[in-house]
Amino acid sequence: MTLFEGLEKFGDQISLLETDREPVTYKQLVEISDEIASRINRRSLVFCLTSNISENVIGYVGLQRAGHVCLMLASKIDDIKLDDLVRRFEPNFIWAPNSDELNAHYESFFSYGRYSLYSVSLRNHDLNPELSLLMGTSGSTGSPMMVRQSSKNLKSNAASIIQSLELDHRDRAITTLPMNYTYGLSIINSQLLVGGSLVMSDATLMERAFWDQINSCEPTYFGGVPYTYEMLNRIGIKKLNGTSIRMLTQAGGKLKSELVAKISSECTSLNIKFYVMYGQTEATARMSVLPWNEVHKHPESIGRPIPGGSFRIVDIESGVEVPSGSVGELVYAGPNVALGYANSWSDLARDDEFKQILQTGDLAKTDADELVYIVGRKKRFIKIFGNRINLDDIDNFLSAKNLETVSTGRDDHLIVNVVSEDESIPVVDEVARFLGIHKSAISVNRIRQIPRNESGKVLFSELEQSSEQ
Amino acid sequence: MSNKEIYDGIFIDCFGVSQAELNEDLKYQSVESWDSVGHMAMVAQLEDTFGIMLEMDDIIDFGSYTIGVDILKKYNVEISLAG
Repeated sequence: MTLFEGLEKFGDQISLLETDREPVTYKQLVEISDEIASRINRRSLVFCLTSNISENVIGYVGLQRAGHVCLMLASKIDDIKLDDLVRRFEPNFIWAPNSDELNAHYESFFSYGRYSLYSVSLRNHDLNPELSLLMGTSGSTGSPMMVRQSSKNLKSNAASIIQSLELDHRDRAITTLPMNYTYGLSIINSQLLVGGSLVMSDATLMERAFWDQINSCEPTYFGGVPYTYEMLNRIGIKKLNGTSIRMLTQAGGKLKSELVAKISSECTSLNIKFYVMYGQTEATARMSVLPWNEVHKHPESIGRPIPGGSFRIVDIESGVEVPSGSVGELVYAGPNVALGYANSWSDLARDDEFKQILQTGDLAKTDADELVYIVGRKKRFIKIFGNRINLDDIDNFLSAKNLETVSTGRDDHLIVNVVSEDESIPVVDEVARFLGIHKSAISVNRIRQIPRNESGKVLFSELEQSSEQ
Repeated sequence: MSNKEIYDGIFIDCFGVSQAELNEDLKYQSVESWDSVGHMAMVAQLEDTFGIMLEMDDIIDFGSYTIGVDILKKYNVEISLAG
């Protein structure tokens, strides 16, 4: 049972829309995508270098329908990272935008529009029969670990999302997130499985092209990470007034609750439903939803589990469930929990290791209405612009430059606590370049020494207090 | 400092570009640092420095170094590129 089998039933409904291009019906989508996939004989591992244009989605649909395993990456991935992943995973093929650089290394044997199939490795992979997709966990630091997802994971999560957001075939999503990002891909998957349409756009909210597409292609919704909503708030939510937008979803990290409340109330007055959601790549995409009509009252909450899923909050040490209202680690159970991780091709034969249970690493509590609230993280990471950033990676990177640091911060703002008066090393610029993010999300806090307890453990609460001053 | 010097300083600081790169070719996404995040940072700095509040359409249309000069005119911030 592949992810997109049966898409034919949507016939002449529109699947893909793009500015200055003919709309693609489901009938056409199935025909072209199967034609692309027919170029590959045996079940293969294919790297998909994604961008938000139609050819990419068409190829992805074909590869999934034919049962291949797709490892999703950004098309603008740098050569060193791509080479590293090619060495570790030995993909048979790469589906990517036509590029001179790829042409120099690999043979392009089939092209469709702006995309081509490149032949890479002849390895006869032992691929677990359940495996469909490999998605990276982190954004920019280190070598990304891949999460193994099955078509059952993808189907069940899409079905839960469709039910939670009450999506139907009249819904039309405009792409605001990359397709190699689990939340972005979940929007693509749920739209296709409900027979709705996708407006393919590579523009951001800060560009005129995006707003022109809203007017010409008339999407009914889009998803965003906290930063998307910071932008929307800055531009003014009223910009959506009089457009076809009827729904917005927020996930990918914590958006300030004041802003959640503000956006929620402005959306309500514009007759737009604003949902807050929570997810992780390890849960295929999403685990909970806060219904639009409860957002204003509980802007701090991540809502309740999606249909088919459940939460438990357990003591960090003992793993025993804590009483309602107490803080513990959030544990999710559901059919969308992925199979496990993969670091190289030799992991691709592995069976289901998570067994439908995910320890999220987030600290949470519930209230009397069964609403869940995230209050902190067990693991040392924050999310910047929706991407997981491991704080220890940053400290290791700076330690190699002879700087003693402890990084802290909150979502969308990294604070590097530096033990040094020496300002000759441009810490902010170095870290911005290392992470590939704009420096406005980074600040430096100079400290005399790292606060530690008697056993040498860093006292993060003291650091956070000093950096807030 | 002239408005031009202040304006240039904001671009150099936000996007890490050199004075020589400040011309009509400097556009949204023409350098890596001028992405949506850099754009927001630049808008915030322009607003703080010149004490103005850009309209939504002006934020979206602010697509290049030279277009910005025309947009700021609307807010009575005169930047003389010739000087």
